[in-house]
Amino acid sequence: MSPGQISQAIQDTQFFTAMRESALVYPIVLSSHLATIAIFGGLILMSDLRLLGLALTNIPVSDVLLRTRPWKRVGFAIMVTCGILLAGSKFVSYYDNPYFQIKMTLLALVGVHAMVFRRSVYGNPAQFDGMKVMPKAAKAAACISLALWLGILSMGRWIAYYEPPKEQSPVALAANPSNDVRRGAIP
Amino acid sequence: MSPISWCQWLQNTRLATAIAESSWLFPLIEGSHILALPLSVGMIVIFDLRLLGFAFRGGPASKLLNEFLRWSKIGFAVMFTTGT
Repeated sequence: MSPGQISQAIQDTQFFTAMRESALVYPIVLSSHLATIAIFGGLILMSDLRLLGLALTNIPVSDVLLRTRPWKRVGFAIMVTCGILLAGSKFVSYYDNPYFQIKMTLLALVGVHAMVFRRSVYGNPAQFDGMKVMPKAAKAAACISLALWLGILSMGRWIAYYEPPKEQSPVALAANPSNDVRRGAIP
Repeated sequence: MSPISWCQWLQNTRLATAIAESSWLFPLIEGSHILALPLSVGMIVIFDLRLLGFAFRGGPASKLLNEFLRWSKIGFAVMFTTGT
Protein backbone atom coordinates (compact mmCIF):
# COMPACT_ATOMS: atom_id res chain seq x y z
CA MET A 1 0.00 0.00 0.00
CA SER A 2 1.26 3.45 -0.80
CA PRO A 3 1.72 6.11 1.88
CA GLY A 4 -1.25 8.02 0.45
CA GLN A 5 -3.51 5.00 0.85
CA ILE A 6 -2.20 4.30 4.35
CA SER A 7 -2.81 7.94 5.33
CA GLN A 8 -6.33 7.75 3.99
CA ALA A 9 -6.94 4.46 5.80
CA ILE A 10 -5.75 5.90 9.11
CA GLN A 11 -7.94 8.93 8.68
CA ASP A 12 -10.96 6.82 7.71
CA THR A 13 -11.01 4.72 10.88
CA GLN A 14 -14.20 5.18 12.86
CA PHE A 15 -12.44 6.86 15.75
CA PHE A 16 -10.64 9.49 13.72
CA THR A 17 -13.60 10.11 11.45
CA ALA A 18 -15.79 10.76 14.47
CA MET A 19 -13.19 13.16 15.82
CA ARG A 20 -12.87 15.02 12.56
CA GLU A 21 -16.60 15.37 12.03
CA SER A 22 -17.39 16.43 15.58
CA ALA A 23 -17.87 20.15 16.02
CA LEU A 24 -16.30 20.22 19.48
CA VAL A 25 -13.76 17.45 19.89
CA TYR A 26 -11.07 18.64 17.49
CA PRO A 27 -11.07 22.23 18.85
CA ILE A 28 -10.98 20.95 22.44
CA VAL A 29 -8.05 18.62 21.75
CA LEU A 30 -6.25 21.41 19.90
CA SER A 31 -6.79 23.83 22.79
CA SER A 32 -5.46 21.22 25.25
CA HIS A 33 -2.41 20.73 23.05
CA LEU A 34 -1.76 24.49 23.09
CA ALA A 35 -2.51 24.95 26.78
CA THR A 36 -0.07 22.18 27.67
CA ILE A 37 2.64 24.14 25.82
CA ALA A 38 2.43 26.58 28.71
CA ILE A 39 3.28 23.92 31.28
CA PHE A 40 5.55 21.54 29.40
CA GLY A 41 7.24 24.20 27.28
CA GLY A 42 7.59 26.44 30.27
CA LEU A 43 9.44 23.79 32.30
CA ILE A 44 11.74 22.97 29.37
CA LEU A 45 12.42 26.68 28.84
CA MET A 46 13.22 27.38 32.48
CA SER A 47 15.47 24.30 32.68
CA ASP A 48 17.38 25.39 29.59
CA LEU A 49 17.74 28.92 30.96
CA ARG A 50 19.05 27.42 34.21
CA LEU A 51 21.62 25.35 32.31
CA LEU A 52 22.72 28.53 30.57
CA GLY A 53 23.03 30.24 33.95
CA LEU A 54 20.48 32.91 32.97
CA ALA A 55 17.58 32.14 35.30
CA LEU A 56 16.87 30.69 38.74
CA THR A 57 20.57 31.01 39.53
CA ASN A 58 20.01 30.69 43.28
CA ILE A 59 18.41 27.26 42.84
CA PRO A 60 20.78 24.28 42.37
CA VAL A 61 20.80 22.88 38.84
CA SER A 62 19.97 19.37 40.02
CA ASP A 63 16.86 20.74 41.75
CA VAL A 64 15.62 22.54 38.66
CA LEU A 65 16.28 19.62 36.33
CA LEU A 66 15.35 16.64 38.49
CA ARG A 67 12.44 18.04 40.49
CA THR A 68 10.57 19.13 37.37
CA ARG A 69 11.29 15.91 35.51
CA PRO A 70 8.08 14.05 36.51
CA TRP A 71 6.01 17.06 35.48
CA LYS A 72 7.85 17.33 32.18
CA ARG A 73 7.06 13.67 31.52
CA VAL A 74 3.37 14.14 32.27
CA GLY A 75 3.28 17.22 30.04
CA PHE A 76 5.07 15.41 27.25
CA ALA A 77 2.64 12.47 27.45
CA ILE A 78 -0.32 14.86 27.15
CA MET A 79 1.29 16.70 24.22
CA VAL A 80 2.01 13.47 22.34
CA THR A 81 -1.49 12.09 22.96
CA CYS A 82 -3.16 15.29 21.76
CA GLY A 83 -0.77 15.41 18.81
CA ILE A 84 -1.58 11.86 17.71
CA LEU A 85 -5.31 12.58 18.00
CA LEU A 86 -5.01 15.80 16.00
CA ALA A 87 -2.77 14.45 13.26
CA GLY A 88 -4.59 11.13 12.98
CA SER A 89 -7.96 12.70 12.43
CA LYS A 90 -6.70 14.71 9.43
CA PHE A 91 -3.73 12.61 8.48
CA VAL A 92 -4.00 13.02 4.72
CA SER A 93 -3.56 16.78 4.90
CA TYR A 94 -0.97 16.62 7.69
CA TYR A 95 1.17 14.07 5.85
CA ASP A 96 1.65 16.41 2.88
CA ASN A 97 2.24 19.44 5.06
CA PRO A 98 5.94 20.39 5.00
CA TYR A 99 5.67 22.20 8.35
CA PHE A 100 4.32 19.02 9.94
CA GLN A 101 7.12 17.00 8.37
CA ILE A 102 9.77 19.38 9.69
CA LYS A 103 8.14 19.36 13.11
CA MET A 104 8.27 15.56 13.31
CA THR A 105 11.90 15.59 12.18
CA LEU A 106 12.76 18.10 14.89
CA LEU A 107 10.98 15.92 17.47
CA ALA A 108 13.12 12.97 16.41
CA LEU A 109 16.19 15.19 16.77
CA VAL A 110 15.07 16.04 20.31
CA GLY A 111 15.27 12.33 21.11
CA VAL A 112 18.76 12.19 19.61
CA HIS A 113 19.76 15.26 21.62
CA ALA A 114 18.59 13.61 24.84
CA MET A 115 20.69 10.54 24.12
CA VAL A 116 23.77 12.53 23.08
CA PHE A 117 23.79 14.67 26.22
CA ARG A 118 22.62 12.03 28.67
CA ARG A 119 26.06 11.12 29.90
CA SER A 120 27.51 14.62 30.06
CA VAL A 121 24.53 16.64 31.28
CA TYR A 122 21.13 15.12 31.90
CA GLY A 123 22.22 11.87 33.57
CA ASN A 124 23.99 13.66 36.40
CA PRO A 125 22.93 17.29 36.84
CA ALA A 126 24.30 17.34 40.40
CA GLN A 127 27.80 17.84 38.96
CA PHE A 128 26.77 21.42 38.07
CA ASP A 129 25.58 22.39 41.55
CA GLY A 130 27.50 25.30 43.00
CA MET A 131 29.11 26.28 39.71
CA LYS A 132 29.05 30.01 39.02
CA VAL A 133 29.80 29.59 35.35
CA MET A 134 28.21 26.67 33.52
CA PRO A 135 30.55 24.45 31.48
CA LYS A 136 30.40 24.18 27.71
CA ALA A 137 28.56 20.86 27.66
CA ALA A 138 25.65 22.23 29.70
CA LYS A 139 25.44 25.39 27.64
CA ALA A 140 25.62 23.46 24.37
CA ALA A 141 22.89 21.07 25.50
CA ALA A 142 20.69 23.99 26.54
CA CYS A 143 21.22 25.99 23.32
CA ILE A 144 20.50 23.02 21.08
CA SER A 145 17.45 22.12 23.16
CA LEU A 146 16.12 25.68 22.94
CA ALA A 147 16.68 25.83 19.18
CA LEU A 148 14.94 22.49 18.62
CA TRP A 149 11.93 23.22 20.82
CA LEU A 150 11.45 26.75 19.49
CA GLY A 151 11.56 25.26 16.01
CA ILE A 152 8.98 22.65 16.97
CA LEU A 153 6.69 25.30 18.42
CA SER A 154 7.00 27.58 15.38
CA MET A 155 6.49 24.79 12.88
CA GLY A 156 3.49 23.64 14.87
CA ARG A 157 1.87 27.05 14.50
CA TRP A 158 2.69 27.30 10.81
CA ILE A 159 1.00 23.95 10.10
CA ALA A 160 -2.25 25.88 9.99
CA TYR A 161 -0.91 28.35 7.43
CA TYR A 162 0.08 25.82 4.81
CA GLU A 163 -2.01 25.82 1.67
CA PRO A 164 -1.58 23.03 -0.85
CA PRO A 165 -0.98 24.27 -4.40
CA LYS A 166 -4.17 25.41 -6.15
CA GLU A 167 -4.07 22.64 -8.71
CA GLN A 168 -4.51 20.17 -5.87
CA SER A 169 -7.76 21.55 -4.46
CA PRO A 170 -10.70 19.14 -4.61
CA VAL A 171 -12.53 21.29 -7.15
CA ALA A 172 -9.52 21.55 -9.47
CA LEU A 173 -8.77 17.85 -9.11
CA ALA A 174 -12.32 16.93 -10.00
CA ALA A 175 -11.82 18.75 -13.28
CA ASN A 176 -8.29 17.39 -13.88
CA PRO A 177 -7.71 14.13 -11.99
CA SER A 178 -4.42 13.52 -13.75
CA ASN A 179 -2.90 16.50 -11.87
CA ASP A 180 -3.17 14.73 -8.52
CA VAL A 181 0.30 14.47 -6.98
CA ARG A 182 -0.78 12.69 -3.80
CA ARG A 183 0.94 9.36 -3.34
CA GLY A 184 -1.31 6.46 -4.23
CA ALA A 185 -3.83 8.64 -6.08
CA ILE A 186 -5.38 6.89 -9.02
CA PRO A 187 -5.62 9.31 -12.01
CA MET B 1 -18.55 56.52 19.25
CA SER B 2 -19.93 53.02 19.64
CA PRO B 3 -17.55 50.22 20.57
CA ILE B 4 -17.85 48.55 17.18
CA SER B 5 -16.97 51.70 15.27
CA TRP B 6 -14.00 52.23 17.57
CA CYS B 7 -12.91 48.69 16.71
CA GLN B 8 -13.34 49.51 13.02
CA TRP B 9 -11.20 52.60 13.44
CA LEU B 10 -8.48 50.64 15.25
CA GLN B 11 -8.45 47.99 12.55
CA ASN B 12 -8.08 50.65 9.87
CA THR B 13 -5.13 52.46 11.42
CA ARG B 14 -1.94 52.22 9.41
CA LEU B 15 -0.10 50.05 11.93
CA ALA B 16 -2.96 47.57 12.22
CA THR B 17 -3.41 47.37 8.47
CA ALA B 18 0.32 46.91 7.94
CA ILE B 19 0.35 44.00 10.39
CA ALA B 20 -2.74 42.38 8.93
CA GLU B 21 -1.57 42.66 5.32
CA SER B 22 2.05 41.71 5.84
CA SER B 23 2.89 38.14 4.98
CA TRP B 24 5.59 37.87 7.63
CA LEU B 25 4.79 40.39 10.35
CA PHE B 26 1.60 38.80 11.60
CA PRO B 27 3.13 35.30 11.86
CA LEU B 28 6.18 36.85 13.59
CA ILE B 29 4.04 38.65 16.18
CA GLU B 30 1.77 35.67 16.65
CA GLY B 31 4.78 33.36 16.97
CA SER B 32 6.30 35.60 19.63
CA HIS B 33 2.96 35.60 21.42
CA ILE B 34 3.01 31.82 21.57
CA LEU B 35 6.71 31.68 22.50
CA ALA B 36 6.17 34.07 25.39
CA LEU B 37 3.50 31.74 26.78
CA PRO B 38 5.97 29.17 28.16
CA LEU B 39 8.11 32.04 29.47
CA SER B 40 5.38 33.62 31.52
CA VAL B 41 3.58 30.45 32.55
CA GLY B 42 6.65 28.24 32.99
CA MET B 43 7.89 30.38 35.81
CA ILE B 44 4.40 30.40 37.31
CA VAL B 45 4.33 26.60 37.17
CA ILE B 46 7.67 26.37 38.96
CA PHE B 47 6.53 28.81 41.63
CA ASP B 48 3.25 26.93 42.06
CA LEU B 49 5.13 23.65 42.43
CA ARG B 50 7.09 25.30 45.25
CA LEU B 51 3.93 26.65 46.87
CA LEU B 52 2.37 23.20 46.70
CA GLY B 53 5.51 21.73 48.21
CA PHE B 54 6.11 19.37 45.30
CA ALA B 55 9.50 20.72 44.30
CA PHE B 56 12.38 23.02 45.29
CA ARG B 57 11.71 22.40 48.94
CA GLY B 58 15.29 23.14 49.94
CA GLY B 59 14.69 26.74 50.91
CA PRO B 60 12.05 29.35 51.59
CA ALA B 61 9.64 30.18 48.82
CA SER B 62 10.91 33.75 48.86
CA LYS B 63 14.10 32.53 47.17
CA LEU B 64 12.11 31.83 44.07
CA LEU B 65 10.15 35.04 44.35
CA ASN B 66 12.64 37.38 42.69
CA GLU B 67 13.15 35.13 39.69
CA PHE B 68 9.43 34.49 39.51
CA LEU B 69 8.56 38.18 39.40
CA ARG B 70 11.29 38.98 36.88
CA TRP B 71 10.44 36.31 34.33
CA SER B 72 6.70 36.43 34.62
CA LYS B 73 6.83 40.22 34.18
CA ILE B 74 8.97 39.91 31.05
CA GLY B 75 6.74 37.16 29.73
CA PHE B 76 3.59 39.12 30.49
CA ALA B 77 4.96 42.26 28.83
CA VAL B 78 5.72 40.34 25.64
CA MET B 79 2.36 38.57 25.73
CA PHE B 80 0.48 41.81 26.24
CA THR B 81 2.36 43.77 23.57
CA THR B 82 2.16 41.07 20.93
CA GLY B 83 -1.45 40.37 21.87
CA THR B 84 -2.39 43.98 21.38
